[in-house]
Amino acid sequence: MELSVSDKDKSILLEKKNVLSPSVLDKYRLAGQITQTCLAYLTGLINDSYHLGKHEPYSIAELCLLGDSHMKVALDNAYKNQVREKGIAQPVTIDVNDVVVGYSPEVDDETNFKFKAGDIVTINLGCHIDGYTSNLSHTLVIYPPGASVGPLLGSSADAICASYIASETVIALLALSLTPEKIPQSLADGSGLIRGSTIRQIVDSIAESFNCVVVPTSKVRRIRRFLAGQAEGIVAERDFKGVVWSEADQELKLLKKSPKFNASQELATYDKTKSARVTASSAVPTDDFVVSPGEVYTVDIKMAPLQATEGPGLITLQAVDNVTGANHSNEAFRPRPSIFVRDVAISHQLKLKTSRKLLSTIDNKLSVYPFKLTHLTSGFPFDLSGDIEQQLRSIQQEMKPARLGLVELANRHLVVAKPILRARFVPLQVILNASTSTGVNGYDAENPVLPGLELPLPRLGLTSLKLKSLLRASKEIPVARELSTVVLNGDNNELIRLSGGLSTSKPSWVHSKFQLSGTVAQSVNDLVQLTQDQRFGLKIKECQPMKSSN
Amino acid sequence: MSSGLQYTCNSCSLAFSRPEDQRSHMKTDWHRYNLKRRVSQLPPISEELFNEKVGNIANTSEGHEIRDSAGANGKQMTKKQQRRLEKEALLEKKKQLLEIARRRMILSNDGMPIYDKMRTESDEAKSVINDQKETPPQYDNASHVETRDCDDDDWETEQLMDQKIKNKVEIPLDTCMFCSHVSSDLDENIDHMFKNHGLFIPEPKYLVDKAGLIHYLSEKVGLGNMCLSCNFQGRNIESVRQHMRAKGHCKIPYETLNEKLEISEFYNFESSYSRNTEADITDNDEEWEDLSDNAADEGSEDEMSTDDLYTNGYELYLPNGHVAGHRSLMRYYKQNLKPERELTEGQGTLVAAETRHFVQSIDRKELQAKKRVWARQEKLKDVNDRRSAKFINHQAHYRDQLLQ
Repeated sequence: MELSVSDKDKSILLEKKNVLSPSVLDKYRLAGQITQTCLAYLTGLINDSYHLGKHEPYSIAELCLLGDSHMKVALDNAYKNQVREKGIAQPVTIDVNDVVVGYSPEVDDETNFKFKAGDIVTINLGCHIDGYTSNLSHTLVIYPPGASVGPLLGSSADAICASYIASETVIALLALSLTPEKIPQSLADGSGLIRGSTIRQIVDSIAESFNCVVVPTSKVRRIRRFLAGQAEGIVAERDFKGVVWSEADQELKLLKKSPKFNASQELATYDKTKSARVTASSAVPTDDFVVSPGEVYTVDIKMAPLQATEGPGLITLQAVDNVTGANHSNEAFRPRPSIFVRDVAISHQLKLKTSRKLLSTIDNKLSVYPFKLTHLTSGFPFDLSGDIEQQLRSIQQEMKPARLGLVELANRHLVVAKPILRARFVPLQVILNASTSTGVNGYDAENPVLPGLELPLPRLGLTSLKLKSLLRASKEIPVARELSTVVLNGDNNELIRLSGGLSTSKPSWVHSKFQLSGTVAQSVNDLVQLTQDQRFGLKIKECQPMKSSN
Repeated sequence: MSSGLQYTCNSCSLAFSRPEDQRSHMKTDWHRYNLKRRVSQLPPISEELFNEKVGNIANTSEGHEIRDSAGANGKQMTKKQQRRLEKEALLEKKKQLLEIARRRMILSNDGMPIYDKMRTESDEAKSVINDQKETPPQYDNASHVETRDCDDDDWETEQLMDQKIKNKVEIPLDTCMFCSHVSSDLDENIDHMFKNHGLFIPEPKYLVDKAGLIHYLSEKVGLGNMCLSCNFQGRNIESVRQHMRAKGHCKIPYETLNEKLEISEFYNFESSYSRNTEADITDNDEEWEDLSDNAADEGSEDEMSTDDLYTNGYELYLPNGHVAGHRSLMRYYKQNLKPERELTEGQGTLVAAETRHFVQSIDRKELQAKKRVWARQEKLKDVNDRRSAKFINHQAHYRDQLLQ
């Protein structure tokens, strides 16, 4: 049985509800405020425990639990009895060094650990009110405790610089779309429009000047109500609008370095839309779009440095899980995926009572956003002032039957586990020597990607399954990430920055030996000047964290 | 015995000298009559007496003879004529009755009941109006006849009622209504009727007006001369008593709804609801099954009354909101269908934005059609193979037929 929504409802849900009316803006702003507050709370906890040594350092699982609880409490107080759906849109994940997304251990996870000095830590979280979502990520540096510390040096510093500058530049570019008359000379192409290709070009050049690579799954995309990219790879979203970086872009760049490469004489031609398993071609991301006022964007930039690597190579992602022997790797880090998202299009008659109960809880209590099993227990939101031991015990007790039910739900594809991804560097040598036995149709069904990006290396004809097997010869690489959500309010010609910004996501003290150079330096300079000019520049408003936060 | 009289008739105690006389005697009506008397063991009668009897009967039944002759003619008449005759006779009778009634009315104009008088007055007024309108006189007469007829019916029933009331036999509460046995009191009387006649009073637990019930039944027998359990109506109390005793109808019928309603005013079933409605209803009436879940509301049960109970044929709506379904629909109530999924706005948005290909479910009809086509193709191929196999030469070597 296939679910369907009438055309009238479709236009209401996808268009009318996305018009930026004052009430919608208020919801966005409040969601942004809550994320900002939560980030401030978490950075405060990390600073207190790791840098200032005020108390015993918190482990990652504890930080995740505290962050989720903080968000939950704030959300419970917002729009009481006024909206049906509100909640956590992205459970707090804390990704250390080479972990890119998805690491959010439960309190009983064995892989749970604490930070070391010199780690770069990405905090990623999000919430939504009535489907209007604000997501946020920020990369921090863990310094050794004590007063006499200098900046972070080395490759991680390059990545942090690159990601921060790239994301600020993209936000300025998006703001320019509201006032096209202010587009500086260095960026003007005559059309007066901000296109996807403009964004890609500038981000790529920033990455290049910092000797970095834009990590696959980075994206600058338009979000809509309930469609904030939380189900990417699961739901093939109609009218996808955004720039998405994938392995294919790196491949093209590597191939261009070869003197023999001629784009017009490509041996293998690969049509993204043909292989995509979608009914509408608008679900396949292309750069061929124009940023227009009245839209909401997330700017998600992940950068990986190339300084420590030898020779050319490809930055790709590896999904890690607790299944031993699945990836033929003998790694010590085997976390189990803890974030799940419901696939609403699928229905199935379940056998176990626990799984039926769990599914009904998920469908009724939670919205369509990712969740952790902790969120379903009665010990959540966690209260630090209460009996900690007893709360932890109740969470663990209730999680046991939920885990049992979750296995069946996952097996039936009713819920999909969000993979924990690590960045890996695969030397080009290894890739070129690999033979493609599975052909171009070897999909990796386990780790869903956006439609049209199923084949990671289309020109070399390397499938994701083959690439997975090459990861044995790969090397881990740190990743810095900056994500913020911005609203392009066309009425006031202002950009409302829901999350990120100087108030909460001040970049850590790092020192990169690279700097911007060439034409990109000029354009970035122009953009920075525009953002800092109060009178004639770009109007950017930041959501401030709430004062009453503890 | 003389030899002259050797031919005898035993039934008439006669003797004849000649056989012809005897034979002619045997053919007479007198002999036949005596034969019949002999069969019924009566002595024979003489010829004079017989002739006298015949003469008497002929005098009294002259009319009968006429009718008989008419009947004999009727046999030759067609059925249509017969019917017409009957109709004419009926009309004649009706006319006579009307005439009698009119005469009586004219005679006893003062002694009539008031409403009858008023009615005649109104009839007269009507006739006056009719006259003014100059309607045809036949029509006028007809209306008169009709109204009179109606009055006549009322009057007859009244007559009947008067007669009944005149014949009424008052049966006291301590007297048996079947045999007029007198007991000391009501309970003893009921006991007597139960033991001797098998009168069982249904639902004694909820009977509140015992005396009223017995009085009602006694009146039914004594005044109405009606049998308690069938439609029999006796001419008088004795006949109905005899009927009931003989047929074993000394019982109160308590099967159908009408029968229950007839004596329901003497009962009070409210005490049965106040405890537990569901249980009682299922106990009392095995045909009903509880439909809704056991969310009994104690408060609402107190104000329950029979008025709140209503049924639409297959479902009984109880005052506390429960619905008892009929047993014949049990298979439907037993079905545990999956409720239709209601999407929230978030789920709806995702579904609206979805562009994934999903596996199409198999259309059974289409598959059947395809299978039929495949079967036909297979059969054609088979027939073709067989046909072509006929003309295949399996001989390994050529042999000339002429050289064999």
